[in-house]
Amino acid sequence: MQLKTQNKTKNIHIAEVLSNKKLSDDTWKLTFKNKIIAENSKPGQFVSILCEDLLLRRPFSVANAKDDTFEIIYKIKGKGTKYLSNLKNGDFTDIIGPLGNGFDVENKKALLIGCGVGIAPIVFLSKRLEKLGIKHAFVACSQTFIDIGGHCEGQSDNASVFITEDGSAGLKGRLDKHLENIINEIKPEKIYTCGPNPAMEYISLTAEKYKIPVEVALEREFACGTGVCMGCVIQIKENGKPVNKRICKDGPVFKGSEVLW
Amino acid sequence: MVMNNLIKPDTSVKIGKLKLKNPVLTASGSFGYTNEYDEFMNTANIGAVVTKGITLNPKTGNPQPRIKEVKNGLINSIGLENIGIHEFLKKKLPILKENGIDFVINIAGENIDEYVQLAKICQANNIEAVELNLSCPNVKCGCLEFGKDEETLYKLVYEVRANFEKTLIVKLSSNVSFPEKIAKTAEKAGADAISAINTVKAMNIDINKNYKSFKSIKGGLSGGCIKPIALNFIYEIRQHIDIPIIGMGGISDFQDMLEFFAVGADAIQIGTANFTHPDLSEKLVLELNSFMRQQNYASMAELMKNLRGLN
Repeated sequence: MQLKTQNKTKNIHIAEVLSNKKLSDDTWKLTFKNKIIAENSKPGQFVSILCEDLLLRRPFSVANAKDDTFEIIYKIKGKGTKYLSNLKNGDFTDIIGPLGNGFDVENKKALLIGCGVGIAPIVFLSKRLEKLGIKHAFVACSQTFIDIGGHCEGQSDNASVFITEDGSAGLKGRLDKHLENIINEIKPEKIYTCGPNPAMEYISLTAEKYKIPVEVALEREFACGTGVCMGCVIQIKENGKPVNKRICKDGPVFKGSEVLW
Repeated sequence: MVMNNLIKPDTSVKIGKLKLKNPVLTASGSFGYTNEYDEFMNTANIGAVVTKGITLNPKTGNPQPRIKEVKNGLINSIGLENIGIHEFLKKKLPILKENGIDFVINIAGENIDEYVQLAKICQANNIEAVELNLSCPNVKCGCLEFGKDEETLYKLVYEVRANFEKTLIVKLSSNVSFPEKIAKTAEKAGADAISAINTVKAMNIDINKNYKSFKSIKGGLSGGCIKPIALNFIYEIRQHIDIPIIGMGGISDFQDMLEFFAVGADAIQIGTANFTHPDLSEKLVLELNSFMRQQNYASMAELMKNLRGLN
C-alpha cells in the first residue's frame, strides 16, 4: 500500500524540562523547552502531558510562554502530578498541545482573578495584556501564599492583589469577602478568571450584578483532551437553550454568563 | 542489498465484502466521526475508522461524571451522545469521502425497528460497512440487552441483514455466559463479521474522606486491564464461527496487536489508547509493514498462519 505522508506538523511534541520549582507547600512550576508549543500557546489554552505508567494524559493550563520555553503550574494531587514533581532538569516529556481555545483578549480595562492553581492561565494572560499595553488588575486567591514571582515587575499602573485564606500574604480571608470592593475600586470592563467552579460561579454572578462580562477557563477530568470522547461535556446556554459543549475542544474558556453552573 | 527488501507485503484483509488496506481500525467512540485526529496522523492511512455510535435521532448522553480512570483502565458512561444519522450523513460523510478515509458506521438503536431504520438509511446512502452496537452498557434500553439474549439477537441481526446488503459487523459484549452461542447466533442470522469486545460493565467507588459516604460511577471499562478478557473471548468464539473477527480490548502496542491475531482476530481496533497516543493506529500500520518486510511475510494470511502455529 502507498502510505500518505504527513503534510503538516504533528501536534505531539517532545519537550525538555528546564526547571521544576516549588512555589508553595504543594504547588510547583515546571518550565519546558519546546519552540512550537511556546510559539503557539495563548493564555487559556492547555497542554496534555503523558505521565509515565498512567493510562491517560493529564491536562495543564499554559502558565507562560516566551521564546522557546513555556511553563505550567501544578498542585500535587494524584499520581500524575506526583510524577511531574519528580521530573528533573534535562528530562524529556511527551506533550500534546497547545489545545483548546484561549481567552478572547479585548482592549478593555480588565480584572484578572486566579484562584488556587487556577492562577496559571491568569499569570500568562497578565503577561500578554502587559505586552499589549492593556490596563488590568491581577488578583491571586489561594489558601496560603503561592509565590508566582514578580509577574508585574515595573508595571506600576497594573495593580496586583493577593488574597490568602490564612493571611500569609495580602488580604486575609476568602474572595467573597473582597470581590465587590475590588470591583468598585478597579471598575473593570471585563473579568477573566480561572479556579474552582464555586469561585468562578460566584465571580460570574457578582459580575452580572455589575454588568461586567466574564470569561472563565473551566477544568474537568479529560479522557482524550482532543474533543472525541465526549467525557468532559458541560451544559452551556446557547440561545436560551442548554447545549452540551466539550470543555477540552469547545472551551476551556467560556462566557461566565452562559455556563449552567 | 538484502533479500527482504524485495518483498512488498500485502497488509490487506477482507472483512465480509469489505477489503481493507490493512487490519488496523479505530474503535467506535475513541476517534470521533471522521478526521478529527488529522492533527496527529493521516487518517487515510489506517484500515478504517469506526465512527462514534450513531443513533436515529441525536442524543445528549448521560449526566456527569462520565469518565473515571482506574488502574490501567478507564470507566466511561458517555451514554451515546451523538449527532444522529441525518446530521452525520449531511456533515460528516462528505469529510470521510473527500479525505479518502475508509470507514464503518457504528449504529445503535433502542429497539429492532430503530436498527432496521438505520440499516435502511445506510443502504440507501451506499454505506460500505455497518457495525451493530449491541453492547453499549451505558444506555437504558437496547444495546447490551440485544447482545445477551440469543433469540432477540437473531431476530435483530436477521432483520438488519434483510435491509442492508453490504458488510454487516456485529459488535459483541463479553458480559455474556456463553460467548460461542452468541457469536454463532450472529453468524447464523447473517453477520459478515464479529467485532469484540465492547467495554466491560464496571463500577468505581471513591469513599469520602470522612468515611461516611461515597461517590460512584458505573459504566464500561476499557484499556489495558481488559485485554486478557478480550483475548479469551476471541479465542473461545474463534473455534465456533467461520466469519472474520475484529478484535479489540486494551490494545496499546504492536505486541498487543499480534496477540489478538494469534488468538484468531483477522483485524483489530484501537480504542482507549487513541486518547493517550493519538497517532498509535497509524504507527501500528507502519510497524506492521516493516515487521512483515523484515520477517518475509507476503500476506496477512501468512502472518496469521505462523502466529497461530498452523504450519
